[in-house]
Amino acid sequence: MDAAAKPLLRVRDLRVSYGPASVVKGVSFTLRRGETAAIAGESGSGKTQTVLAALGLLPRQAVTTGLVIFEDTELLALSRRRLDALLGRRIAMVFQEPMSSLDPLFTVGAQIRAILRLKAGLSRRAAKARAKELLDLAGISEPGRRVHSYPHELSGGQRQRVAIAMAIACNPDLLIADEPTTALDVTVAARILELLAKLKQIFGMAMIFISHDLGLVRRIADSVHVMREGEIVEAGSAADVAANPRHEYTRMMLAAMPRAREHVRMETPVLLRAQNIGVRFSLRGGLLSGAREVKAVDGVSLCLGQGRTLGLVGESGSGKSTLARALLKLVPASGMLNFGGRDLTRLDRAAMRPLRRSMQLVSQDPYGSLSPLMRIGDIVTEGLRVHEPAMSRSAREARAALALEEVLLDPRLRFRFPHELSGGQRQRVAIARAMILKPRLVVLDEPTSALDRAVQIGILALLEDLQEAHSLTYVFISHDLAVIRAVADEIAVMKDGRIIEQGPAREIVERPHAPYTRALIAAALQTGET
Amino acid sequence: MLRFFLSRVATAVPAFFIIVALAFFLMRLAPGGPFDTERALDPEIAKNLRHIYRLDLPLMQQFWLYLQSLAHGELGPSLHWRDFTVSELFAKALPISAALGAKAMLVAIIAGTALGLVGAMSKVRIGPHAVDGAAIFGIVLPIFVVAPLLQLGLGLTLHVLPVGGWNDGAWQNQVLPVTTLALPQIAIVARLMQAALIDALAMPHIRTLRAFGMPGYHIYVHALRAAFAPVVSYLGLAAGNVLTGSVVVETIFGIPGMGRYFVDGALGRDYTLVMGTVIVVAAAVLLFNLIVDLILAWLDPRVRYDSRPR
Repeated sequence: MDAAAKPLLRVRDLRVSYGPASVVKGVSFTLRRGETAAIAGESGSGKTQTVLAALGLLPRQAVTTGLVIFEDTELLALSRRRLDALLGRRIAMVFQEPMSSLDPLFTVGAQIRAILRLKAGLSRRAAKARAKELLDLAGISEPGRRVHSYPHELSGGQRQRVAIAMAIACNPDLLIADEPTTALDVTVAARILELLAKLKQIFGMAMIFISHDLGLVRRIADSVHVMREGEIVEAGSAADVAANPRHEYTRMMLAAMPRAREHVRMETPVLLRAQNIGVRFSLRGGLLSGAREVKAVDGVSLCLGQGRTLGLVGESGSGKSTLARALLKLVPASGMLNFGGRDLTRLDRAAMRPLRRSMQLVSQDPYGSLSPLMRIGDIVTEGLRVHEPAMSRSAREARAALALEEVLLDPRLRFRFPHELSGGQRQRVAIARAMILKPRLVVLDEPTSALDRAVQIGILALLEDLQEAHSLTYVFISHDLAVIRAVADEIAVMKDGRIIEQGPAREIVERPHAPYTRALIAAALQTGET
Repeated sequence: MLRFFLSRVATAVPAFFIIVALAFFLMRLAPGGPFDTERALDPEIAKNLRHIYRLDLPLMQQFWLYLQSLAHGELGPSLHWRDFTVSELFAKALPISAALGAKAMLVAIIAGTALGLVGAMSKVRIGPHAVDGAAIFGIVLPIFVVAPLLQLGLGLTLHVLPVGGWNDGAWQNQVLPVTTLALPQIAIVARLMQAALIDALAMPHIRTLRAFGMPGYHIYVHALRAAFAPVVSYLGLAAGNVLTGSVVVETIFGIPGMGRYFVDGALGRDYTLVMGTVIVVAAAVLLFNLIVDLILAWLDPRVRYDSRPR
């Protein structure tokens, strides 16, 4: 039998458990040379645990059983030393978070050279030259200069390219990419995917691609293994699984965002009007360089009717969050702001306070935005204590229970702490906290970005119900065009602090004018949306 | 890096000046003077003395004169040991204290790091707790308890080391004071090092190195560099702690260092001597913190950017 026909990797009945909790429950799959296999599943499905276990990278508490055969070698039976000899050389990995997966204290050049010298056995000099070649191959411009950069001096996409350069340093047979594009903006993610596909061609590598996004997986993988709660629930060729999903879970993962909702074009009174909003941050220079100014938001004008949703879309750094904070007067901004017929432009903090309850913010990170030291009930009612100080303790308790019920959470959760809740539950708490004050305007800053697709859909449905029940006005910020399209009546596309295109949601998605909008839509389509 | 260095020096200079001014005026605010004795001095003599030492001038003028002499490197005459200038007194005492402090710090860094490393690397679950527990002892036991215990045990009972004295810096005489001074610092450094190293080893970029099958020593080089930052930050504080600790240690072991000038100078209202010790100590602490900042910036490139005022 020739080498090409032999499977590169066979995993048989792999099980991982931490004490009594088992996280991988008998996973088996086979990978041929040059093949790309995807492991798809939502967070907590055990997909990362599976590959880390196969490479012996799990912490000591984890108990791994089963067979992992790479060519003819049983990996789980190897000594640490023999396994280390394979890792990096024959099997390489790219991780999800390109910021934290590179050492912040060493230049990227040093990190690549270390692998070349210790794993490929290159001399100091050869490693130096090869590091530059690898960076060039990974699509980093000016590699000669970039080798001296530290990770924090690079963008997210560049960091991921460095991580890929490290992975291909020893020309591995198997590349494992764990959510390599999840932390990146869509247009950047699309380019990273292209790069991975190209390198796979050049080096003839096999690839295991881990992702929560089945749409994305379909584009890059030959075969797909869908994981749920530690088990593979469906496997097959990528085209097959996408076209005829048999398992209900796969169908749920494939279900795209609901189509653009058909809104009745009602003329509603204007609730929020902003004119020529500008926000500048000054970066004070050091001893030798002068002060610099950054225009985070530059001359933005908006008009939003009561009960409607404005979708603000743009990539990270485009100024959308800053704009949202300026609309709530949470950052000093120039320009004119009118809310419900009142001119807010000249109001100071004290004068704004009574208005605050009708303008609420729900922010992105459901982990960071809830105080870990407070009970859910206290978090939800904190605003009431400011705006209705006369309210009795028992009345507040009752309101907290009602508010939690309204976001479809068990009212008994109010005695728990945030760390006891899942991501989706936390985001519902954050929404309840905003809703308890019966606001008129709610700014939602990436409310679903940290969540799995299924949880996202639930949150979006909840937001829509709340909007209908209380005729709320939303400013909905997201980098995810699919989400924006599902919720927004109008879309504004932001880039470099300016709104470059604005109009009814349908028109923007179907007939985009600005080239940037087109690129954004194309990228969104390529990474899974159809 | 040069800009970073200059900005740190630029903040150290005013800090130094403020310390000097504070010490000068606070000392004068304290009741009593350098020539107060049990029996009242003849008023004429007292007046004469004050005139000779220019203590009869207005306070601001005295301060100005003091700054002028300081600019020439003069610390002035001692008001208590009247035959010596402060500089002459320090010329003998400072090298002794500096040697003691430097050795204590060096021992603390080496032993603390080693202990922390052992704790973090230990495969048994109890390892880190053992280091923590031992360290708590080192932190809790005050110097004035440890020193007599060491004197009793190693000096009086076993007769292996001298109980006290300096003996021109013979190593036997240095062992006990250096150990006493270093012990609490070893404990703190060990705890910091162990905690930081355990955190560092759990970082994603260390997992990356493991995923590439990098050799163990390479992984520890990366983890140690990350773990050193909190330890080095602490060393700035430790310098101050060692200095104050040396006062006690020098007194207990009878070592002719700077320590006794702290106390004698302050009690005897020996203005110039007190000012001299304050200046030497402040300069030492500031210098050490400057070095710490530079090491931190060298360890972590992000410090060079983050430290810029916003």
